Amino acid sequence: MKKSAILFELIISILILSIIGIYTLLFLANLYKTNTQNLKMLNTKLDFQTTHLFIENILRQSVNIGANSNEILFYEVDINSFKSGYYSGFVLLENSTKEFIFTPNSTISKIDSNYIWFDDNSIYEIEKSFDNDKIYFKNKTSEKKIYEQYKLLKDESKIFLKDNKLFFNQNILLDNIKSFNVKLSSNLLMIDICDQRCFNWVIAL
Amino acid sequence: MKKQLSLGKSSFSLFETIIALTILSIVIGSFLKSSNYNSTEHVNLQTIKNKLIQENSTDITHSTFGFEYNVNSKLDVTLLNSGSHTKFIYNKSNIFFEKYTLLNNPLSLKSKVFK
Repeated sequence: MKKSAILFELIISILILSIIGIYTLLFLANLYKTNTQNLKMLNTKLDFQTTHLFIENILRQSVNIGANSNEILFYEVDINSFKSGYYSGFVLLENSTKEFIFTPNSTISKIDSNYIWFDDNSIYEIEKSFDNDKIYFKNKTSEKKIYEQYKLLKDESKIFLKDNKLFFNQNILLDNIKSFNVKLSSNLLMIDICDQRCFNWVIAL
Repeated sequence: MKKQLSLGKSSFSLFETIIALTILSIVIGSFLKSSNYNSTEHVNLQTIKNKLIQENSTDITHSTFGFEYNVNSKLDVTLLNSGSHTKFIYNKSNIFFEKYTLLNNPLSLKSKVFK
């Protein structure tokens, strides 16, 4: 009687142990799956957040921002040259002509910009110059309205979706993007971007 | 008789260990289950940010502040208006944000047309 009770107890113990073992394995597998998913989700979230900050920052330093349904077009200001003190951003109107602007305290030979921007949002193409205080226009004959302040611009940049990838010019910002829709209303840029989940970014321009 | 006693003793302690393990796994399991990553938090903050930028949501209240005035004499000041600057407030679900928009007069730049 005693022996059979012990045997029964042993069987019950083994049975419980096997159930615990199975559930532990299932639990560990589930934990691994959940953690892998969370890590992936966290990485995606960080990628999206970084991209959002990048776009917000780059647009803050850009002018003439335009938007089609799934691309953003803009001109980046050559902020590094300005911070390095290569151009002052000021024009002496009296010494300027329709061929060039006179901008004192500038080292134009060190600049690698292609366009000049004025306050009325007009953009003119400029020439590579070695004359340090002058910026020459490419089109020297056309009529120009020149303001006493200017910004130098790099080439036209764009952010667009192609083959499920979000590009900034030639560089990939995000992968596996299902949709990227842009809407520009007054001074607000609204971006709807989706991979597995969707995000809505509003950027004040 | 002695052997039987020792077998009984060891199976009892094994049974006790298994019960303890079961309880322990339930406690740890439920703890891990309850500490899962919550993905909605970021979306909410992004939504709040969007609302504060757009400034037209029902969750956003706004008030004005600041005065413009004319000093006529030492003791005579005329208030021209109250509140040319705006303050936007989001206060919901224990989350509080303030955004100030200061009205500044745009600088008019000199320009010259070259024909």
